[in-house]
Amino acid sequence: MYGGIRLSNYSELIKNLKNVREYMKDFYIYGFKTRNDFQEKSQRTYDNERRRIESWLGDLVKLNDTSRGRQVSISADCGHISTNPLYRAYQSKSFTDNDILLHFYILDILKSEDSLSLDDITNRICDNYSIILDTQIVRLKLNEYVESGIICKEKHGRAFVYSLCPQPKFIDNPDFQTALKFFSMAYPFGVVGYYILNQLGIENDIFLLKHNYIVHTLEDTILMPLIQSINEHRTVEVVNFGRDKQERTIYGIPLRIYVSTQTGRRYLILFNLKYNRIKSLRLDFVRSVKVLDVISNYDEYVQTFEKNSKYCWGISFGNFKKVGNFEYIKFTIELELPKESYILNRLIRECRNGKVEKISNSLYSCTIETFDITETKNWIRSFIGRIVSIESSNKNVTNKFYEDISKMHQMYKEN
Amino acid sequence: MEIFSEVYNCYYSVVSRILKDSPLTKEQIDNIIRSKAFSESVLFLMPKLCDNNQWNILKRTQDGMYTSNLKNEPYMPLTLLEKSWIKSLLLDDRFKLFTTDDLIASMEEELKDIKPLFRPSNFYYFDRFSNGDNFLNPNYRVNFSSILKAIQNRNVLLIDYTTSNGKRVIGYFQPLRLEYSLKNDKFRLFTAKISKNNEYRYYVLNISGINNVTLSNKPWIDTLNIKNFFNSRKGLEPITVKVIQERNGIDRFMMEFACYEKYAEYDNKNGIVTAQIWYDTQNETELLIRLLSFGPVLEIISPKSIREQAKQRVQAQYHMFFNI
Repeated sequence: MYGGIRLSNYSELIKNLKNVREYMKDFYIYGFKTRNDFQEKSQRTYDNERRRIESWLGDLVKLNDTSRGRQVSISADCGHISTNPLYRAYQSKSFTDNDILLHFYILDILKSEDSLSLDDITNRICDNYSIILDTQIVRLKLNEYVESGIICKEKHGRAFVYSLCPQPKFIDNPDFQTALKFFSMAYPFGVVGYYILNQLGIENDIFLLKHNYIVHTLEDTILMPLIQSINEHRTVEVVNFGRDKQERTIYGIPLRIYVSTQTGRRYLILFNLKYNRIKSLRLDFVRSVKVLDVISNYDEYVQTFEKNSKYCWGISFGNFKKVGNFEYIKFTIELELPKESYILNRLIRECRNGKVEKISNSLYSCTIETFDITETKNWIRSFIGRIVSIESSNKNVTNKFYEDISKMHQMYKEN
Repeated sequence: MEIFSEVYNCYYSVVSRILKDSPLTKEQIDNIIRSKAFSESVLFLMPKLCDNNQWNILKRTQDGMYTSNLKNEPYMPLTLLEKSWIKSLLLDDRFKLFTTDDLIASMEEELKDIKPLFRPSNFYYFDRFSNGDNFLNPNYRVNFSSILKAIQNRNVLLIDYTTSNGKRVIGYFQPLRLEYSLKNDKFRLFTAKISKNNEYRYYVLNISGINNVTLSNKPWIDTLNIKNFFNSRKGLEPITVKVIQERNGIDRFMMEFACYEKYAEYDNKNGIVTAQIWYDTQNETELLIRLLSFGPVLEIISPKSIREQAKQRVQAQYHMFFNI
């Protein structure tokens, strides 16, 4: 009991992020789902995960009662915040009493003395803090911290001695600390920068981010082994759930991470060894990654990818196997120059691998050759009101475009 | 290297803070936990630290204060994960905006045995605009550094700026925040322009458009701050849209607009989401074209002025296509 409240088996802390990240994602991305919409897990699981998220994020969690029930959302204007609030989830790893005691005791002992053996450390714990611990428990914690790079282990004679790893001098440099404020928000695995800022007791009071998809951080535990595999040229086994909720295991070679700065999605680009083709998988649909063997001819797959990636508009490699089949789309827009030069600038800077051509003083065309022209539709629609003509090698796409404009015209006919 | 590890746990950092600040009263410990940890952490931590003293990390003195049982202030060197992440920073051009070449050289030396956690080339931002800032431009670096220091030291600046229309502006600006856009790959300065009679107006300046920055002796004005900057730009009412699930419209919309402050409700009888999005008035056109890009799966309902703009664009397009 504390403060008259009975403690149950519930804990704010968790062993892994697997379950809670799905709830966090739903609360943050959708924010309109109610308890009944979460049928895949028990209602009790829902209640516990919701309570945890509320506990971690405080006022950012909003509860709204609607006709469908109480909906939970995480509300944040990401352009106005000075840190990613979802990083809090990463500070919730559960631990045992021995874990936290050994953390403070061992680091305290090694701060006073340059290097000590396992037996010396175990004895110091007993002498300094009146706690008797088994040498084996201390050894496990020391090895864990050696692996984490906190403690260094060296052989002295026949025994190992342990010391604190040296702290880099740049950590106290004010310019470095300012850079940390920025990169903890804007760089992949920014949560690591957040950990360092926390230790230094510093908060970001300078930088803001636009087009900031904070939810990406929830994929970081999946991203880590993928990046490791890319850089070590290893194959992976990826368990993936598509929109149809079907589980698929894909064996392949990870090549790159594709990030959309506009749709909020990130993708793993992988060479699927079973089907011998390049595939993109949404990172938020990947549930687990198993890192496998090093392959000797990794560079050949990279070359194949690079040859083909220049024909991608987004993340679709079409039906590519060895030689890709391309489609093209060409549209022409009308604009008044120089008054509307910003439109022409936008066309040029956003056209990616396409070709912009001047037809006349007021007409400019953009031609895109790509594996899958359906990916370009959303962008072309951003020029609605100016598109004089549109043509393509895929008539279905152009017909659909005309049909969409008719539907939108109907939609906006009424005031 | 574990990214989700107990050494980064919020309880560890709160206990560390308590040990550093000790001696403390029980009430002060309670306050630190409530302000730094999760909202229910106090229920778990107080018995461990004070009530039952289960962890034996603090000891209670005769005057009722709690003092640290450790010989030193709590301390933990950087982990391998943290060093690897910092090593990755050295590979990014933007890092040079913050540091001197000497610092970079000394960091490289100190981290020479560490592998980067990732390489910038592992990531490809496929829909990023092609006219991003040149972070290696010497003039850009000098201006960026001057602005950064002015924000930190609360200095008003004399800025010589060329607008996107080619117009040159020279004036006194109080810098408030630096904004980076992942889509544009550009830094912008949120600032207040102070005129001769101390009247002001909020502006956003592209760092790439700044020709020169010099320190001024104008006094800093406290009322010109980021909160008022945001308030000056906030739309009077949110944009309300209706989205249907056809072509996965709801999922696409909710994901794409996740970074906006919004409120959404789902009508499960008709399969429609009604969402209200709060927005910055300066970004109204950008928002409008993004909404139109969803095609017929999304309808702008209000405000009337924005619906009217959408209507005009759609009508113009309809006439162009169907010549009606």
